[in-house]
Amino acid sequence: MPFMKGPAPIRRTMEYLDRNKLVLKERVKIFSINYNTKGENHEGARQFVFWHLPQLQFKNPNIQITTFKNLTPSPFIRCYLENGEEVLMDVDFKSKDEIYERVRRIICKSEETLKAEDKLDNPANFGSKCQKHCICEVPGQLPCPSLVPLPKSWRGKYKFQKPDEL
Amino acid sequence: MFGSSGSRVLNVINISYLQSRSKRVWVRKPLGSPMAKSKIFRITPKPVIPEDEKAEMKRLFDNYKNSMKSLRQYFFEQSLKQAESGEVAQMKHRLEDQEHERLMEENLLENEKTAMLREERLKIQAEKTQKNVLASLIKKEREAKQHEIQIEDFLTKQMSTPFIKPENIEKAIEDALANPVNFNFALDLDGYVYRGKETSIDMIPEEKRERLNSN
Repeated sequence: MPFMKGPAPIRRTMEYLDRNKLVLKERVKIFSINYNTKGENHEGARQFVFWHLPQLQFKNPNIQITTFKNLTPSPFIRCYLENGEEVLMDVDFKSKDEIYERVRRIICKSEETLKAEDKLDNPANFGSKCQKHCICEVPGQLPCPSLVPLPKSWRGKYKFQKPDEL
Repeated sequence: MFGSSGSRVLNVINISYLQSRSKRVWVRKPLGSPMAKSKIFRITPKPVIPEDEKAEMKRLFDNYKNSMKSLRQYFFEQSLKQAESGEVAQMKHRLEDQEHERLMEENLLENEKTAMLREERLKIQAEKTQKNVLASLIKKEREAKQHEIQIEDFLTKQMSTPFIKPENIEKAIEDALANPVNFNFALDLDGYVYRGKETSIDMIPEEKRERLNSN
């Protein structure tokens, strides 16, 4: 199989995109980063954009992420929240990992929230992305009404049917 | 031909389902079995519905689906609102807001730290550039001075050579007429001069003259 094209194409693999914890909080609507293409103090910001921006967008498909290049002498990240508030993060001379940690700490959902929202882990969730599709699959629960019909007194169409009004 | 599809399952009211051990009930044809000979060339007649009736039915169904969908979405949003207005949710919101404020303050502190570091760095850089600029200025001055000295030397040298000015011209002419320059001389490799047109080398034994270039 041939090599994937482009510099560091691992950034385009599903595994890489999936495996990060940059899920922004719901109140963040726009994420913008200002940096220069030359300059030592912008190196961390450049690396962050190169490696982690695809991951960020993958995990937050409904958030606008923009980059502004060669506008200001020092790099910074600015997030616009729902209530008009702006979060300004100065990343002058910081390394890519430091920026990653800071973003994660300040405007991303914490590990506990992610775990609580995670459908796969919690066996109490049922649905397409969960461990079981329906509660009828659990032994000890009601069997699926498609196989064994429910008693008429439990079915809404009989319970609420008012024969005298018909 | 087809294996027995397990035991019968009755439609029951209680939760457990009973097993029956009598006749096998035909539920459906097994999925891998071929079509029966009496049925392979059967063409089922397609129900023909006139166009206007189709249009009418579509219109009715579309209206129904639209209303149901909008109702469903409305109820969903309402339920979300209710969930948010409950006590637990409100507490959650408050905690979240507090957490958010705390994080914002942390962020501000970090910003200030980076700003301080940046100022220090800029200061150091400014000093460096100042030093560099001063050094280059000094260098330039020095070079200019040297250049000046050189020019002065050259000028003095030139001035010291006997120029013929308009005041000296008559004297110079008289001097030149009185002392004609004879170019009839030969130079040796060792630097000796042999003057005169008819002199031969053997005639001059020891009176050799080393003449340096007299200018």
